[in-house]
Amino acid sequence: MLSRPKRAHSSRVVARLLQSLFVVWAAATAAFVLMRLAPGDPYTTRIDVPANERAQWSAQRGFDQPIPVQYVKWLRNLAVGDFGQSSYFKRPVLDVLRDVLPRTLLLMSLALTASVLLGMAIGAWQGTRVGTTGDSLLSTGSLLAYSVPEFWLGILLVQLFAQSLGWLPASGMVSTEYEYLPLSARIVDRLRHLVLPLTALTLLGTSLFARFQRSSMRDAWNEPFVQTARAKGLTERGVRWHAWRTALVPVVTMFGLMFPSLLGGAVFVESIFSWPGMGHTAVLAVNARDYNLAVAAVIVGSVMTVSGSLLADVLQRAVDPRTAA
Amino acid sequence: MSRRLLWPLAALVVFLIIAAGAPWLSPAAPNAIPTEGIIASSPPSAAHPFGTDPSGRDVLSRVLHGTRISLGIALLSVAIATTVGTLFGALSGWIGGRLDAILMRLLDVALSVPRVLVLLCVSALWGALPLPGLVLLLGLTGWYDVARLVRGDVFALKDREFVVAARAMGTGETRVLWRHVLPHIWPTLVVTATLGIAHTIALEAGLSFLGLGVQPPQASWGSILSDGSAMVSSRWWITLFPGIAIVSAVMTCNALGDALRETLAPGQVAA
Repeated sequence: MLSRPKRAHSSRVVARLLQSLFVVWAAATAAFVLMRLAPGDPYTTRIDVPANERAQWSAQRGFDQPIPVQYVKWLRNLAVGDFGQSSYFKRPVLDVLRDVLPRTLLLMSLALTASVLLGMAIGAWQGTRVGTTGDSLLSTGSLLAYSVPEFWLGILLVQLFAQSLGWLPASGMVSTEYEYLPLSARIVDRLRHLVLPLTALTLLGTSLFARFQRSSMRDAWNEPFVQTARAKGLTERGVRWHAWRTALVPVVTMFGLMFPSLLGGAVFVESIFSWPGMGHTAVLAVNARDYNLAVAAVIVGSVMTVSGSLLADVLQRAVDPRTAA
Repeated sequence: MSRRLLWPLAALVVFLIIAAGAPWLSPAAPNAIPTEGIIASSPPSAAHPFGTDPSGRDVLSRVLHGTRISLGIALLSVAIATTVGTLFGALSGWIGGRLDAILMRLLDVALSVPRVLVLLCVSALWGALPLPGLVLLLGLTGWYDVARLVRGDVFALKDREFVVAARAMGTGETRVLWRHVLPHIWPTLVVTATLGIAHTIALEAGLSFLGLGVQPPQASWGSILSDGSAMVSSRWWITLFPGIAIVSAVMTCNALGDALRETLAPGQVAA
């Protein structure tokens, strides 16, 4: 009896993984088709290259072959992790990804962690005090934070903290003199560069989580089991904990589902702060018609989204006994 | 009407009035360059309450005209997104079975790529999109959520008594969908569309800011911001005022969406 649901569970996991793989493949294919349909080529922006040299370049990279042939070749390479050459950075796309992706992941994971903690704390506090002045103020605040576009927030932060006050660096990941600094100063330098982009991303994420946690906490707070818990003589702290456990489920699901919007935000935030991550690189890539790098950015985005929704599933199972098979 | 609904509605009406009356409300034409004197960027003054940009154009006039462009793009593209999403979702939920499974997998794929990346790729690779192209692009990348929600509602509604009764009485499929199912989906559509407008205003501004959306010299809130972004320190007024316009418009739509969600309570149809 015990082995049966277990097998059903593992086959469901396999099916889910296959489905995710399909989604990534389909997104990659769509990106490939889109890039090949686009007018112009990676050399459109290079007026300095003579025509015959350009034809030679194209032939070298297989751009003169029919699209289906290119596609099969591209897919075969992709399967072994070969994304091709980046025409902008003049080195393999995989190398570029290896450099820029960790920087975005660092920014995103820190922003997510901070957003979840802050957002849940604020939202849970509000959810038990719906209608009070404090709740209204915080609601207005999170509505405002939620409505400010990341790039404008970035401009304001740079203007205030970097230009006017001069407290923090405006752009980049390290200072120009980074190489000559001792270790402790290097760490401080890196942290100082993190503060502003992280603040911009975190403010957005926090408002999202707070809004979500507030409504789920409010719903849980009105459930009969909260009354029961109180009637049993639980302390107010205990009652709150009880309600929060239930209110956690939708918020935790949200955690995984936030990856794409956070990555979208990272595109703007990284561009404002010249943070050399995936988002900033994607903007450079599309502007330079660097097809291989642009396709890789789409694939990375799709992988992140898919892993986010897988994570949402796993987390939901972990916190909600009803869905844990 | 509740106060929560009233304030954002009033603000929205103000924005619409500004958008409609921009040519009459503005002190100058949006692209007018002074014909005499030195062409330079001047700080806010009585003659130019929002200052002028480096080409000497009046920022207030540009922001007012930009309202028209920014709101117009957002409204039209959300209209496209809502229509496409409703058709797709209704088809999927109503017919169900294998078609539903296929359409939902397609939707998974579409949802898997962050929208900003798609917008970046298309607008950069096709180069300087004209306004209708931009509207179409934003509309055709914005319907996935609508489709998913509508599909859920239709799926839940199609076995309800009144729908079954309508079909039993011999009402045609299209008519049942149109007259008996769709009215129950309105709350969902109105709320998602309102929040969609907020999101689209911000997205268009972001794209135009990166130089990939509305192209100069056309004034949209994002493109004005983009004009001033290289000189925020010395010419803060070029970025500040359109930014305030964006934030207040987005906030208005978000507040309206929130209030509508509480008043109309979409999703209740499924209960």
